[in-house]
Amino acid sequence: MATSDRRPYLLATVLDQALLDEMQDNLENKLEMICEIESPTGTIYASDRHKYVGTRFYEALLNFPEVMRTVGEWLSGELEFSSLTLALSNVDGRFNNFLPGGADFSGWIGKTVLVKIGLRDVASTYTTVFSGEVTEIGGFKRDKNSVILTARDTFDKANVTIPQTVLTDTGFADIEDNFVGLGVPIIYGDWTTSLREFGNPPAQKASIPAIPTNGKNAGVQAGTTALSCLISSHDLFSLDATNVYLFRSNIFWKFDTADITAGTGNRSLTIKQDNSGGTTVIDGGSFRYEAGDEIFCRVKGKDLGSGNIYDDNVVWITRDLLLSYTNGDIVSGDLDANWATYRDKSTPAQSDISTLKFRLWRQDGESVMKEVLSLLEQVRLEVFVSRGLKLKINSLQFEDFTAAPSVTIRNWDVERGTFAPESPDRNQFNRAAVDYDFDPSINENRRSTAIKNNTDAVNQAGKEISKKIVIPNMYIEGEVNLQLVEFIRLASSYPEFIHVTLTPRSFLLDIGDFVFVSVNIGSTVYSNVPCMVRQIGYNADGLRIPTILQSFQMTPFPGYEPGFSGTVGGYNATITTES
Amino acid sequence: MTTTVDLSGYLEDSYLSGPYLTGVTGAIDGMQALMVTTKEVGSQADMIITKIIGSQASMVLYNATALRVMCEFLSRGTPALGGTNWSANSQAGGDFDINNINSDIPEQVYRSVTDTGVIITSDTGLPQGVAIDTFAMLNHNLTKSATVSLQGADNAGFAPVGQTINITPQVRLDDMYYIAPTLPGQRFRYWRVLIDDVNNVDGYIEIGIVVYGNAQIFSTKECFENPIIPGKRHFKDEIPTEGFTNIMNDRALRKTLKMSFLQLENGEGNLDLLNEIFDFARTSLKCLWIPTPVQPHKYSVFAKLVDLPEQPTTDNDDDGAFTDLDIDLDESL
Repeated sequence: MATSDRRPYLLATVLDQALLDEMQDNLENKLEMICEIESPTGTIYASDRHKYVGTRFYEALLNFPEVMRTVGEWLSGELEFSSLTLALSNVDGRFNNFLPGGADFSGWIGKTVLVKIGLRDVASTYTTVFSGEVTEIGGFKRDKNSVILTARDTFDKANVTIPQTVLTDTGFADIEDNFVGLGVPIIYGDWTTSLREFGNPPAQKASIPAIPTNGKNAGVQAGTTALSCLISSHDLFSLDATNVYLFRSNIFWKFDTADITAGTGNRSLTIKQDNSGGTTVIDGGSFRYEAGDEIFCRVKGKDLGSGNIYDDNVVWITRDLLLSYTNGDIVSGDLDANWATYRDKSTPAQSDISTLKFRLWRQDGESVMKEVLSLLEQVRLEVFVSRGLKLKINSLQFEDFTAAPSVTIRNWDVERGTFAPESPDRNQFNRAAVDYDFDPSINENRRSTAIKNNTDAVNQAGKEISKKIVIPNMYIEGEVNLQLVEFIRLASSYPEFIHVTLTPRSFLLDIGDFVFVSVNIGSTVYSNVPCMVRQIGYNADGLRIPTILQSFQMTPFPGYEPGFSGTVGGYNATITTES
Repeated sequence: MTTTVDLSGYLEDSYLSGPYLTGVTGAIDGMQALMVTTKEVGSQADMIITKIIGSQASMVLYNATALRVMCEFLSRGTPALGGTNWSANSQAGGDFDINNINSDIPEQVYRSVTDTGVIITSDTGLPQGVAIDTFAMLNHNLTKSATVSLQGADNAGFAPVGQTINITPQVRLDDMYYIAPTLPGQRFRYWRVLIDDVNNVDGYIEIGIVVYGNAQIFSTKECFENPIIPGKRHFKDEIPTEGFTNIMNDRALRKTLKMSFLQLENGEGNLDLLNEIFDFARTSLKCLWIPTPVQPHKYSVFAKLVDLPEQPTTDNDDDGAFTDLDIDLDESL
């Protein structure tokens, strides 16, 4: 609460919630925005007002746009990186030397842009809320009064396409034309178990393609040269030489183990042919490669270290994707410490990430970030850019929700006219099934669960609202069913999203944080409703905090039992399997 | 050598004729005479030179009571000095350079590392020197107990000091002014400010702007009308809430000033002075406006013109023309 000091911000040196509360109680604050822009000859220090931060002077040269961070929409598979456009005043021509034709022009693409918010001139209180680079497309413009820069979040440049290597006839002179341009696969997890069964009697074969890379070679065609096949673009933990198969004419034929030689790091293998010492008999004859033959093998994917205990851990797989395939733009220091926490999470069973089995085979081009989001959302996890500008995991697992948030939003924390609850257009369903277990040998999800529903929600809605969920990277049926149940419990509780602009008292909130909402605005009455921050922004005009909150008013979770009539979803909702 | 001759009491019509003034110049043969008027009514004097050898006459009407405006700041040095004509014996690290006081941005300050024995020195770059009739130090952090002296010298070593002027911090503590009570006769190329403020809780001296030089001075014949309208503008960002209280983010407090002038006689100096200011500063340059030099802190602003005023003029042919105008000044522009 406030003291006799009506302007506590004048002397404060620490920006914490207590100070924000006290400033709010006095209806006045002094949070300010600054910007640092890399220029060809140094750094431009700018703000929307003349001010010092520490010993550095920031000149009033621009007006700030709104800076936003979001975790995106649940199950959307997209992480929206923030971008912003700044117009630097050049009315006095001070930046003419940096413009085309100027003495110091060296281009603006890739120049860093930092936006920070803090208290007054106290340097230690300033937090970077945006870190980005001037984009290559439309990143630099100018008009008669200003230099206009558009910057994208630094993490966006790490959003590269994987796999990063493709098969070419330059790298493989004798590769058949139909393989040219295909990606060299990335493989994680255990591909030696839970495989497609084939034949009579049905038996597990192999799923991982081994791509012939010398099929046009005269020696291969004559059978005098071993067939070379590429499996992955990186070392694999193991290759099971006893389970390498030829798929020809809709029949799997197993190669003799002695005919198989693993390449360095198990990335490749060679197969002896009839005239190169091979002993494998295919359909009554010795093996000789024919166009159209498909080779499959069993492997264990990339070794993620630590005694292989995390090789099929979804959190550690996604972490490795980010560290390995972003050209060094993301390093371990860019990941929040909670990655390790979620890697080791073991309870309850449906959220036992430490033992849930995942595997990935990626050949078709996909953005690495989309791949990461897709993997994590299969266990109801999300990734976002945190206040500390690290990639951090947000959980939609019920047991991780905060039942007693320390922050309560009340009427006087809400900008007038901005409180707008709405129901989402997507991801409200009361009935679902899952397609899972992607099989590279058939290029589709091999299996489907039974349909499950929340009968109470169906009865309440008066209709079935169905959704087909895809969990391609899980392959243990029981584990998949656990996730399906949780998805239905979450989606059938009819979540609400509240668009609201908050006062600067909420400046320290981050995505994933829970708050209580207690407001009485017109006919909208919320009484201590727990909500999760899904999107948060910073508007320099007053340091408004535009947010999107996910309301769990009708969603029971551990510690929160609203008891409202009509509550049908939530963590303890009964989910029924349809026969 | 100069001699001051007090002619107050003689500046009546009947005395303003050649024979009386002839006597004055004869009495101070070979000397320079300064004529000081203590009359508040505008004065005019005719000068007749009776000696033709080695004489030069110049007439200056100076007062320390009427509106004065300083648009050109000799404190910033000649262009050849590149705006870096100040030095300080104590300067904090970072963006607190002494030459920050040469900008029009009061927030961009000079800061020392100590609050005693601070000396900031300027080189006007003018060999003939500058006689300061107006000095201002804006956005400072000095306490009322600070001692501030202004010294001039012909050499950068201030050996010897040619002139020392003691300046007393005003009741309003953020701005400080010095108005020369009489026409300053001593010109010095180098000027420095000596500051001691041992009771300063900040432990350092901080100054936003220093300007000095020669102001353009209204004659006492005409003045602004009452009421003069000082004001303040509070800049803030405001968030109206659903609790029907508004949350503010404080930005700045800036002064404004409005003055009205009635019946300024065309061709009598004051109107021409204002038009010179309009032509020079327009609405783009800040000037130091001191409406009441006797108490300069009362209404002074370092501001731009909001607009160039219209000048409705009553033209009476041979009986003269008289102009009304309103001036609107704003420090936030």
